[in-house]
Amino acid sequence: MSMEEISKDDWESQLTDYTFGVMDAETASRFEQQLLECREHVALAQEYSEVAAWLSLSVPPAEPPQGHKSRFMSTIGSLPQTQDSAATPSSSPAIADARPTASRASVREHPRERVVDLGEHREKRRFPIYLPALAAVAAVLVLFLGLWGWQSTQYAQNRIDFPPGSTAFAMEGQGEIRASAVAFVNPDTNQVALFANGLTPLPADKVYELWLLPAAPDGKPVPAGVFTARNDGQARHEVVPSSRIRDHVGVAVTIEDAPGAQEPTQDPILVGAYDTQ
Amino acid sequence: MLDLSPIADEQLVEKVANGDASALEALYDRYVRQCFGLALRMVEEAALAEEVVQEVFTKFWIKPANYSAEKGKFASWLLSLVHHRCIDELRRKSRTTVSLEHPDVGSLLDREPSKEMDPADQAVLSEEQTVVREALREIAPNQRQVIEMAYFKGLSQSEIATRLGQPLGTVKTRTRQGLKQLRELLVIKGLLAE
Repeated sequence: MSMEEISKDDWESQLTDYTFGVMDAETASRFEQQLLECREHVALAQEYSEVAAWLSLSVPPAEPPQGHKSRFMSTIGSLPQTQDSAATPSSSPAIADARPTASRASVREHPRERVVDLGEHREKRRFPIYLPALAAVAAVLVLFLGLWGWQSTQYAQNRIDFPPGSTAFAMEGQGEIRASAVAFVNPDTNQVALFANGLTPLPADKVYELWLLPAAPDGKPVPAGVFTARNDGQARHEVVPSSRIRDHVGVAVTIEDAPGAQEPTQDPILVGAYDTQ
Repeated sequence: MLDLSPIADEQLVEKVANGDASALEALYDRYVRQCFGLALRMVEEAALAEEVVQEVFTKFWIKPANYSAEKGKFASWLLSLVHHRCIDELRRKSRTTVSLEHPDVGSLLDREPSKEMDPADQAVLSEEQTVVREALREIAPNQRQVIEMAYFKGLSQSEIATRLGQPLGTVKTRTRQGLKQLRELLVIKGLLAE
């Protein structure tokens, strides 16, 4: 059912169920898809979510059972942390500088066999910030963490259905951006799918825009659709670009003025590289 | 809102990301009562609430990068995790337990805040709590009722309509109008931007 087929009242009541988290995962997924079709609806959803966030803070505090803290602290003492790049503070420049941006793997193959270095393009590409990152050696760990994060969300769990032959790769936030994403490309069907976490919900006049990055040093990025992020920072974007995926070597996300740009006007916030050869 | 705490949440979060368990302990001390209060309000079982809270803090320790400043205030983010986790528990329980009794366990306005928190944290939380509770008091009781049933009991509007014996349309209208009024009040009281 599309947005046009349901009344505004019905839609708003669905939004209430969605905001309060009482929709089942499948219905919520469908609802999100509809939600993203309209910027006004996204804005209303954000308003509802803001109210909901305050509701949780309105409950009087209560003392947990005796010994809870000691049990908790003894538990975490034995648990290793997952330290991915997003958690790395900016005060660690050596780590930040060395961190890889494009890590990738094929669904069919062992990730280590699919690592590529795109550094050869760095001098002539249009995005000065991501070029050094594209040259970095792919970090398999980042990919797995990204996949883990993606799999851990109901949002993505019920929705990934990419055909065999798809290539999965991680996208990393650039600079101070603490977002991350897992992307899929399928050269046979020319599909691209992006599942991002940690994005900032944008004002109504801004959108996230996906770009296909050309292999040729003097090539131009090709727009591959716009999308928005949910209040929890997650976003999903699927597209069949007008250009062939095989002719490109990576994807990037920028923030552009709505309804999107034909050429990127901002530095990328997410970048990832793939190899369909 | 004046933050009276000596170390900001974000600084503690950064320390946690660097493996500093004492920073986690500080955040735990700061927010466990709020988290436990919310969980207890929702699942109504101390043991289950304790489990939920421990799980939320443990997940944060394991992967602190799940939080970033872009997601809003740390406290709100943490409480949203507790809320989502409790909703999961409530929905799971509702699949095995069918009960149309006790449509509501009473408004949260019936309960008063604890005075056992650190005074500085208490001051900040109390001020915000007071504002939100005032706003809740100012909306119509039947609107507050459906909002609380949805948010704290994890009930869909259809389920609320069944439990209250009210037409679904009535519940939808009350919920929608209540949320809008609540938002307007929170804007007026300075907790939300217009």
